[in-house]
Amino acid sequence: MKKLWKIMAVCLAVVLALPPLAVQGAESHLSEVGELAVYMEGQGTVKVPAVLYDEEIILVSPETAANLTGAELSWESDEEFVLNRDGYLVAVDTASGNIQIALAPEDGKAYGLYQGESFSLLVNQRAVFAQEEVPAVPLEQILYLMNVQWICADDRVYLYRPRETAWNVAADYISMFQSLPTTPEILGESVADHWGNSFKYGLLAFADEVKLGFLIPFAGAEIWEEGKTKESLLTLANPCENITGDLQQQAQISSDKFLGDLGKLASDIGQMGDSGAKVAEKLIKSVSTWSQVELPSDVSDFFTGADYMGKVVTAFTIAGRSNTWTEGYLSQLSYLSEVEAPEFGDFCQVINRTAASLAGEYENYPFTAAKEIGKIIAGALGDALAGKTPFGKAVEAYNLVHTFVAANLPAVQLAEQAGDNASAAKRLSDLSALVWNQYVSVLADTINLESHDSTEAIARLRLVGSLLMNTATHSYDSLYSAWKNEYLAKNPEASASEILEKAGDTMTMEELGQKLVNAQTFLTRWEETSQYDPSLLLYGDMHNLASTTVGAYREKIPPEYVKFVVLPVFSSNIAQYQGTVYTLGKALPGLTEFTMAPGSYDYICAIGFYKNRLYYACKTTGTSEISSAIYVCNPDGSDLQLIADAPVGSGKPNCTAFLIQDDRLYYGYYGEAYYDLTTGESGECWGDKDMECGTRLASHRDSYLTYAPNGQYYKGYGTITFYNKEDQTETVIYENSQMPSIQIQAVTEDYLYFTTIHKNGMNCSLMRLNLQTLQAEELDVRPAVGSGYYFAW
Amino acid sequence: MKKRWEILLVLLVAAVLLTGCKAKAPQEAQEACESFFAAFTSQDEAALAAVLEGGELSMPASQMQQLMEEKLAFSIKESKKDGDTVTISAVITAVDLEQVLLSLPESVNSQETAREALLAALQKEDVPRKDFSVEVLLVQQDGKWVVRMTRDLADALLGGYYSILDKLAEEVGA
Repeated sequence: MKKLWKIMAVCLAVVLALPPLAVQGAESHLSEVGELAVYMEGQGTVKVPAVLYDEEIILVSPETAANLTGAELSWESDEEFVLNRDGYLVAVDTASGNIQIALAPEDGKAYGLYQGESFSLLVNQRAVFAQEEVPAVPLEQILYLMNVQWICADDRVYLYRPRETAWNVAADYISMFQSLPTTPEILGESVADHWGNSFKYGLLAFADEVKLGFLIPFAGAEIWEEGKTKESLLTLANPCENITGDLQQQAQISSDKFLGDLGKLASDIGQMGDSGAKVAEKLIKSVSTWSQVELPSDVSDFFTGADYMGKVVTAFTIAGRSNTWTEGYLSQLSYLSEVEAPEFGDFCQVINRTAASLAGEYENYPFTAAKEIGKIIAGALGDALAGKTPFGKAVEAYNLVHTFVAANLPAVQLAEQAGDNASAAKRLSDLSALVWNQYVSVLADTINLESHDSTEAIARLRLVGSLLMNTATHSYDSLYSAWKNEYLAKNPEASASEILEKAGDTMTMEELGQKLVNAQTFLTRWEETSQYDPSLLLYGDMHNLASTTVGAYREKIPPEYVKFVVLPVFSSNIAQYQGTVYTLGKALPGLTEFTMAPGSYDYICAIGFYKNRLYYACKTTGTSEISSAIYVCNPDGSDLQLIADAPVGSGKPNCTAFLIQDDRLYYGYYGEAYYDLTTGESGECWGDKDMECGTRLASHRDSYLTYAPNGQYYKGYGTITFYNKEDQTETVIYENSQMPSIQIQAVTEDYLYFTTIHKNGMNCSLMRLNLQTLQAEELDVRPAVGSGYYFAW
Repeated sequence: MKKRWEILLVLLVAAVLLTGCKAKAPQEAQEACESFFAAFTSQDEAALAAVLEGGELSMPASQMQQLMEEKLAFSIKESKKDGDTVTISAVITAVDLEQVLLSLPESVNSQETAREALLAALQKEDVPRKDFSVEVLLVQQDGKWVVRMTRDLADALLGGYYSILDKLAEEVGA
């Protein structure tokens, strides 16, 4: 006896000496995976998986980041990925945490941007998304670097993503160069007249093939006559006259993918519930710099109805675009009056003088365009605008500019009527050569700028880039008019289709039309991207992350926007926590032995994890006349609290099993009692929901119903069935009549663990079912004792 | 007398020093010019970007352009410094584009057939060539000498392309 006590004392000492920590990896900064509701143009509301770091910073997978930013995702290695939005790159090295921003033009090279800034991940973590461990990156940081704007309302993040920014247009400098007119194209058949057909085609082929990017001083030794120069510059004030009909359709197709539709986005949001209109209004006023155009109050009042916000957006978008166009022209004249290009000699000086003269003449141009145009929109167009595509609205803006310019700049009309289109085409082609020379220099300077303290550098790039494409577009437009008018002069009755077929010279009218559309599209792209310039001010310390600047609007996303789907949890012999599957039995493949001393009584008989807390039931040895209790603690055993106690003979509800749902723990043999995890309140289950949960706990013994994110598993006679909650179908995923008595123990992302008694009653097994292959594997087998089950008491 | 010799000695030393300073700048500039020619011939974009003013942004060369560049030869005659710039007189031997275009067969009746005929012509060993005398201009950029592209230099590198356009413009009265 004395020896027995000694042995027991030693055992007790050993048990007491065991560390209470039973759960590995208990300390983690990451939450479980939850869902974040995001609203995006074209997709509506989507719920994306997200985790919280220290309950504050929202992290997402690179795949989700790509989806939310509208970028393509590519992996350089297991730890390096790149988000690519049409040549604008954000490259993340999760090994070092370093981030690089670069431009990737079509030639395959990459030019680093913001080289004076040091970008690195706010936090560097990995998390399991969709059963795969991947880097988890800060959502707000990635949105910031990808120039996305957003507002937060009603537990939802509303994103406003640019189709592209000025950087994307800049990255296309090779295509932009190829859109410029060449002298051989313009000199036309006159080449063949003097040098022969083969010479003409050879010259055209050479001009097309040899990329003269840095080799274009102007070609044309004539001295520019100032009157002709003035006429050429005046044509730049007007939209192109030949982009109508089919060409307009082509221009729409070419431009559409670059134009955002804030109006539609606002309309869609405005129809979402009671608060939709307010959210739409906030979005509109926050994200688009064109929203700062003032419309007369009577214009705003003109728009009514469900699509009110969409119409208002349309009105200020058109007014804003018209404003940009007209103000841009004066800026271009001012630029040309000061441009220095000594290698262009007299030509540049003539440009300087003529542009200065025009700029001085029109500096008092009545720029009340926005208000005047706003009235025109309200009076003449009204609801007709609502159904137009973004390009259609852009065309309306150009048409309005045409009307306005015609009324206020009669000299432009005279220049157009002068009829010397071929000459204008040649002069503007030469001017585009001069401006290209300047553009390349400005582009290199802008790319190399180490940090952008303001949008000034980007604005200057846009000014020169727009001027470049304005001259190219109008050169082609003038050439188109020249060939068309020349053909009409000889064939006055020619139809439009005949002109299209026969009026071409060095190329067909269709080919010339395509070149005109290509050049015009670049102009549209420069204009469209101006509203996003504030979002290009990026800094390594992200001191401007939270911003109310229009065009760079970013709100702090409340961490509580990440919602966690918490499944009901039944106590069990096997439970998973943060990727580790614990068993109350011995360690087996994939199973870690759970070792923790109970708060009272003899041993732990059931466990369950809920919202990062461990709940367990413990009991005295035996199958009857037992005492039991339920405790809660942290997974490492700290902060232990007693929830319920049922000493033998007390008549208290049984504490050997429990169900946790909606922050209430249900226990008792019949599920007759509950404990509120939030308030600490306990009581009997009398209410509907409590009764239902209590009943479910009781019936759990019969079906071993187990919850999974996508549905439920339950057992039958030798079967396991899966109920898919999405399509409400049932599927038998396991069937074995030789193993009739099944108890489902736990379900993870990959496996379902269950125990079973063999049909002969002699043995019992612990099984693991692969949920992908539905192949069952026997992990352990032993003689059936007691109740016969594997985890028998 | 002694003082006069001292003055002469000082002047002599100063002259030697000044001569050395004046010669040094063109030497570095000449090396930059030679690097430019070498980079152009070997189509080394990175090397070209380093010695061409505003050459940071690359433009991939087409096959036709590569064939033109392979045929280039350069020789430097003399160099002189004028204020902040250096001018190097060079002779550039390039494909004679005008002759090549004039020799295209009459069967060429489209841009596509012209392209193929041009490529074939440029690949011939005996493709017509021409010498262009060019004043290559070098300027300082970020403390180093770089070549400034000029019309004449571009014309020579392209086998007289701009000269052809000038003739055409004059003939057609554009």
